[in-house]
Amino acid sequence: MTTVKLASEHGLAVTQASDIKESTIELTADVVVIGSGAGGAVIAYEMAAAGKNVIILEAGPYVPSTGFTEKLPDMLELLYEDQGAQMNSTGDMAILQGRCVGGSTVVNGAVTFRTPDVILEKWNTQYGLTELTKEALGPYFKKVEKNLSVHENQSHEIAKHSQILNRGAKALGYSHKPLKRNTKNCGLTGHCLSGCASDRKQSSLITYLPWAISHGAKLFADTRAMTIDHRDGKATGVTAETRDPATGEKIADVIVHASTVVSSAGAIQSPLLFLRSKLGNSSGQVGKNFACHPSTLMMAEFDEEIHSWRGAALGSYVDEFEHPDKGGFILEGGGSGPVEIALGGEPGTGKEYVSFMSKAKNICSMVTLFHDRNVGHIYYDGDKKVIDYDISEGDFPTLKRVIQEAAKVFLAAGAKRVLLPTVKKTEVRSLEELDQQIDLLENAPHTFRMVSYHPQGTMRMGPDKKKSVVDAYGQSHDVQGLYVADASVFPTSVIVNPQITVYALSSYIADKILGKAL
Amino acid sequence: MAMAQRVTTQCSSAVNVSAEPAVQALNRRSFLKAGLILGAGISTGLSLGGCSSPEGTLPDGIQILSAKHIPMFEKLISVLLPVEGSILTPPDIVPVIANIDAMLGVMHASTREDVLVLFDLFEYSSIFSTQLSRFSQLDNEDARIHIEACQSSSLFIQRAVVTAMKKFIYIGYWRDEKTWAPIEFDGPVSKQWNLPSLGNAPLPAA
Repeated sequence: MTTVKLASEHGLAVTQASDIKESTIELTADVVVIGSGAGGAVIAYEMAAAGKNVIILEAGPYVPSTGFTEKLPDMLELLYEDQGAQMNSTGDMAILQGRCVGGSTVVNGAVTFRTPDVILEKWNTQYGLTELTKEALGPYFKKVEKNLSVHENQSHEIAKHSQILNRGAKALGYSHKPLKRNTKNCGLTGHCLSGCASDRKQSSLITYLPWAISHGAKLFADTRAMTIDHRDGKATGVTAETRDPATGEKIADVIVHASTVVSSAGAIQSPLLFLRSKLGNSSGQVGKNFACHPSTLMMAEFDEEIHSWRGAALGSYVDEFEHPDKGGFILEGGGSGPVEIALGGEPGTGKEYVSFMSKAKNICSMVTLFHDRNVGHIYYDGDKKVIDYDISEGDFPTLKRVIQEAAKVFLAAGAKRVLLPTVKKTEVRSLEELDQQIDLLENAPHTFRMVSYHPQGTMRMGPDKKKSVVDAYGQSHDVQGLYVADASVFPTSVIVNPQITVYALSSYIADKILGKAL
Repeated sequence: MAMAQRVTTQCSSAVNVSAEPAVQALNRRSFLKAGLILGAGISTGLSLGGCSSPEGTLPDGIQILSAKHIPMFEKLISVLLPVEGSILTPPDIVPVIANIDAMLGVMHASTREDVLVLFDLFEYSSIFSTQLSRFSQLDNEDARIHIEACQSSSLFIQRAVVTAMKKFIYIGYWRDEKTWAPIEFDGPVSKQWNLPSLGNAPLPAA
């Protein structure tokens, strides 16, 4: 038996644009993986550990943790898709995704949830995923949670913003719990969304990717898969381009020959890759059924000092409404720095704004997520990607309820005023004012301040070739050897932070590819 | 308050007359393209009306913005960040405009083009409300009233444009570390706290 050692204790062996001298690179592998986030990293590791020759193509740059400055605007530009400016087509919702080696796992808040039972049951009964049960996925959840050091937040990881959430929830009799996170000896810097500078967050960058590389996987950064290649109904590889991340100049064509291709580019880029490749879409479902957990940053002013940027970025959450029958949403105590506070709500213009920001240390923030419907569509308009997604009329009552309950928690915790997440100034100081303002809300473009951290859907998994893009094991219905392993395969949104669902499901798909099961 | 009502009413009615049919016909997806159309329309109106204003001086190091943008941003900074008498850092010692220029510099070219159109659209958005004055030519109180009127407008494109302008100013200001100490924001802390890197996680046990 060969003992494999970690190739490096710090950093990764990555081929970057600056390393490439040739104009064309041709490679052969058993498996080529597109994307290096939660899905791609797991697939790459499991395949490489099984002795497969693996190549990983990542469109974004390689930024080691020494490059994480803990300055969010800088990191948005460096580590996120479209420099942090990826928007829905209406332009009123930022859709944040990592675009770097490690993908969104590098820039997320490290919150972990198993897929709620009710969601797995829904996938089973309504979408035909009869094998994807809680029992079948249980060993995969257990495995990835162990690998990623998932644990429940301890008391020192419940920062002031989350203590306030707990206080409000307790006063209202709402169920609330510490969040679980994939961190190891968290430094409590509050800078999760800028990448963890001290490698405490157990992202793919310091877990599955170095492990895959230790088993021989080759990782190419700055390299975007342009098309999936296929012949006679079988995948044959990927044609990619390596570009200088600073100038955008094309450095090389990269052609990878492989009989197994796994798209783990995420719920926006995976369908775009299929559409560019003009394959895998006999169902007509590629890019459809997009959902994204529309999120708001609720803010409230308190007499006490909070310093919302201090401590673990996410501490505890209200699960009272998690079940769809009770609302299908959660409220997370979440930190925020001055940029987020400055943009999350509207305190007024001029002197009112200055007064509000002067009290930034007294501002508490809360993140909301809800189980939205799969009403969006990802497609190309010419060569421009389109993220066609707006809050549906069916979801609008839920959005209003989310805002109302979040504000109630703040008021119950003693907030002097709560800013509702609207474009115009909307603040409430009492339950009566809250009810009045909630009634006035309308579902119109550019009415709310929203952000999505969780793109999902678009490459739906299911047994029916007419209604889904990939089968119950992640393989394309149309192209043999072509798999998808990322949040795009979710038949519905999952209510909660999805990274562990992606990790576990990708681990499950890896086993299916290898023909084994846990 | 009377002024606010006057501006709001004039803003709404004038835009209703000139642009509402076009806006109603808009697909939500293409609001920036709509901005382009509206911007072109307003520009045409401007040339007919003979309204113009002197351009600003381009600060050193600016690469994307042009001189015409400077007075608009200076007005926005003046109206949005009136910090006199507060604890906040005076914006005249923060390179807000240079920061915005740098943000534009890292955007995709097509996004940048859209945003530059948006800047023009905003500059001209006050034409109908205040006797053919560009935003940069308004006095500060009228400028504040115009911003709030747009933010409460029934036309989503006005809400969209003014929200975007505020975002640019606020990010341009708050990303500078000189703004942090007054509000006790700690900024980067890992080096300050000597937090060592834990490095790569060990390989999982087989």
